[in-house]
Amino acid sequence: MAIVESDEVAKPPAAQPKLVSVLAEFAGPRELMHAAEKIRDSGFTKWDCFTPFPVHGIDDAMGTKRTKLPFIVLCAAICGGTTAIAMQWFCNAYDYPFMISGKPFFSLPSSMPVVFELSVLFSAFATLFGMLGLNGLPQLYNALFKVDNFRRVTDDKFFLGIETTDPKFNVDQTKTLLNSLHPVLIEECWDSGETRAIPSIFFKTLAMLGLLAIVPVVMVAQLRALPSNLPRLHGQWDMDHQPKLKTQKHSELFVDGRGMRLPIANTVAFGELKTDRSFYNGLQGGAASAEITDAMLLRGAVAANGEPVNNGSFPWVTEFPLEVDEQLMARGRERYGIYCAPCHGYEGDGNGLITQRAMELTGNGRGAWVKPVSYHSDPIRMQPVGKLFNTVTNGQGRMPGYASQIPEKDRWAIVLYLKALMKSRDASPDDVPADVKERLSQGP
Amino acid sequence: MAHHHPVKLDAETVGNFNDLGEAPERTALIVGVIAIAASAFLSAFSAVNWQHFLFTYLVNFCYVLTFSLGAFFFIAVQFVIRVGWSVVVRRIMEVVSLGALPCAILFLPLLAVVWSGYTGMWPWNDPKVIAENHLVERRDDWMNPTMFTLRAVFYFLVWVGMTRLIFKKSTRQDVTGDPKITNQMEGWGALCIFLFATTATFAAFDWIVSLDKVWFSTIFGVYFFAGCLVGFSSLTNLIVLILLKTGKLSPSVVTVEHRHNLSKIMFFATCFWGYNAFSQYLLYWYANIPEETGWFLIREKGGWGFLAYVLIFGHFAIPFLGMMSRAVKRNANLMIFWCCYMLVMHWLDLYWQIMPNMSPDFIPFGITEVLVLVGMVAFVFAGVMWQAGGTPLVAIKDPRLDESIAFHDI
Repeated sequence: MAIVESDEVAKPPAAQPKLVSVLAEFAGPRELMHAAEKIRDSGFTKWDCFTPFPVHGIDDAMGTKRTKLPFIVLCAAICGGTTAIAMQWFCNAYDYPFMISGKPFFSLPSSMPVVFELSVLFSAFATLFGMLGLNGLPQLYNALFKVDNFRRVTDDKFFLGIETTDPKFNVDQTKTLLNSLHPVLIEECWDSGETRAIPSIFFKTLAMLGLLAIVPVVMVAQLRALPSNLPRLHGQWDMDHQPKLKTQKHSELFVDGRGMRLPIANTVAFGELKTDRSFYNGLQGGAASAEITDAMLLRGAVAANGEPVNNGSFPWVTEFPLEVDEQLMARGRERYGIYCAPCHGYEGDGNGLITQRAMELTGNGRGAWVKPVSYHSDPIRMQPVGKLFNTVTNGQGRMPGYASQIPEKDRWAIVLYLKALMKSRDASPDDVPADVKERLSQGP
Repeated sequence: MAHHHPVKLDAETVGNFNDLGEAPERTALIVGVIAIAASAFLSAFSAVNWQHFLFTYLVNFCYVLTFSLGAFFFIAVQFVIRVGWSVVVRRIMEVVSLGALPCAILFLPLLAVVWSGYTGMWPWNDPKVIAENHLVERRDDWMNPTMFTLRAVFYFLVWVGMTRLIFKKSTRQDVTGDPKITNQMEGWGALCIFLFATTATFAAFDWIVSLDKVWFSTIFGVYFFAGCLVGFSSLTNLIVLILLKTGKLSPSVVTVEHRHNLSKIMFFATCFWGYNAFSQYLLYWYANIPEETGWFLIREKGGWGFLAYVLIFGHFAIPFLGMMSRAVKRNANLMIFWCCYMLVMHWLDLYWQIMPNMSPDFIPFGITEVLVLVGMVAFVFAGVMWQAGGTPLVAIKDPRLDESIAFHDI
């Protein structure tokens, strides 16, 4: 530790040998401990003990102060914990918020494991590098390495060394003092004065490695920037090809070969008991619709005799089977804009953006598209709400059903908005509320 | 250390448990029985108060039991891994572990409650609850009065038997100084650790977890075990510090180094408790499954929610920072404070685990809690002192005693 500081003085040109320290060898730890207590009490500051194993109590004998390392580690731990919180908040809640199962973007409990881990990681680094830093390590050269007897300090020798840079150091007096402590022998440690500079090959190699390290980075950058016909490189094969079942995939695990599992026979999942026919099918309940199966409601359903099923005569509900309010209307308008307007258009004329583009292509003989029927025609306008609901659910003609995308309540909301759209082209002045009428008649 | 001179201790110089006072066990026994009986009498006039009394009884029963269990486990570990430093304080831990016997007596009223068909405590004892909850129907073979009793008998056979065995062997060594006993205890210790892990886990399920009709937590046994360590380490440290303060133990035998290590165990127990309590919470919070979160839901509302925060900060964050410094761990007065503080926190932890099942909406704290706590502590103290008798405060002829006295902390 302390001996390191003498190294700074040397300058390459002046190859003058220089006394660095005086070493005393002792027979064992007890003698060394005794000598250390004496040296401590004599007021020396730049000196150290060297032993082959840790000696209990040597710190007290040398008067060494307790290390500051624990405080460094504590600061690093707090820093690690704070970093973890800040990082998770920044990534998950600020920079790239991503909704997962309706969970909050940021919450403390889920952050804790990372806080714990980063605190430990930072602490571990602080412990290692703090220890190295406080001890002045790594040290490539020390004059002690040149003392032959000193080599056995890692086997069975016990040394005490006092440096020449110590303010109380005086070669003769120090030797006399050490002699009075009954050492095995006393030795001088000389610095030969040869250059201490790190060989240039070290830096050359480092520079070479540094240049080589750029190559993979450049290769990756090139691959990312240029188009290529080659199949994708899988950097992490097992992450790209996880042994897990994805939707609609085959599986060897199950006898029927399906990856997705069917509900267990005779069970109903929570929230899946759909007995209310008016709400779930748009049909009047009871005996009226008892004969109508779910299959008969599907798009393009065929009866047993091979004839297409005509659902126009089904006992559809004519009233909404749920409470109708402003909120439901707003929801219907929003959902309509998402799911229906692309084809049917925002006003229900059957000229949404997709339809416009598809008709253009059809006109050029590049495809076949049937323009959706306008809502503002009598056959559609007269349909009971239950039938409209079934159309949204199961589709009609070319239109597919939306049951899998849109929950029942939202489908009813869309039907409600449809009724409002139809009304917008088919209203008489009598439909306008009196106060609105008055306001309109007054003009701007 | 090689240069340390061996210290010879004998029964006269170290003192024994009879020196601690004039027959404290008789006074304690009287106080204990009167306090428990008085609170039972005061609560007997209404069903709500009676239920409150029984739950309070369970809280405090678990509280006094955890000291004994923690000590039991810790001593077993000392034997198995041949710990040297702890020999000078092991006798005190052994005496703390003797609480298992008085706890066995204190458990009898709880058995009576189960067999009387009382349904206000453990819902599995109520056929109506079982019939109405398909989720618990399958537990019927495991959770019924007969099985409950059989298991409890097994737990106490293990705890009382093993703590008595360890104590007997250890005190015999005081006389004979036979090092073979130390070797034998290594084997017994291994068995004790296994038996402790099994019995403590299942006891926690039986007595605390099953207060809720559907809740389950596989980590709860470890949570309970962490509580045992918190309670035991705080109590042992407190006893050692008080014996040192009053001069019953010599500071040249139990040095600052031993106190430092005991405090480190307290610090560890606090961290371990926090780690487990949080692990349990995190998984339930993440999975968000109704029958699992229900337990936490009532414990994070109203007064219980406030108590939950008291535990997060008071049982973990504050003592974690407070006991972190080496200087604090070596300061006897500060550690006396932290020991008392952690003993209170440990009680609140058990209160928070058990009580909301009786009173989900508010904290029903009252005179019953105080009376039963005083009664149980006094009763167990009497039972322990009666067993300890004239035993020396230190295992005076343990072969590792010199090593222990010379122990030096880095």
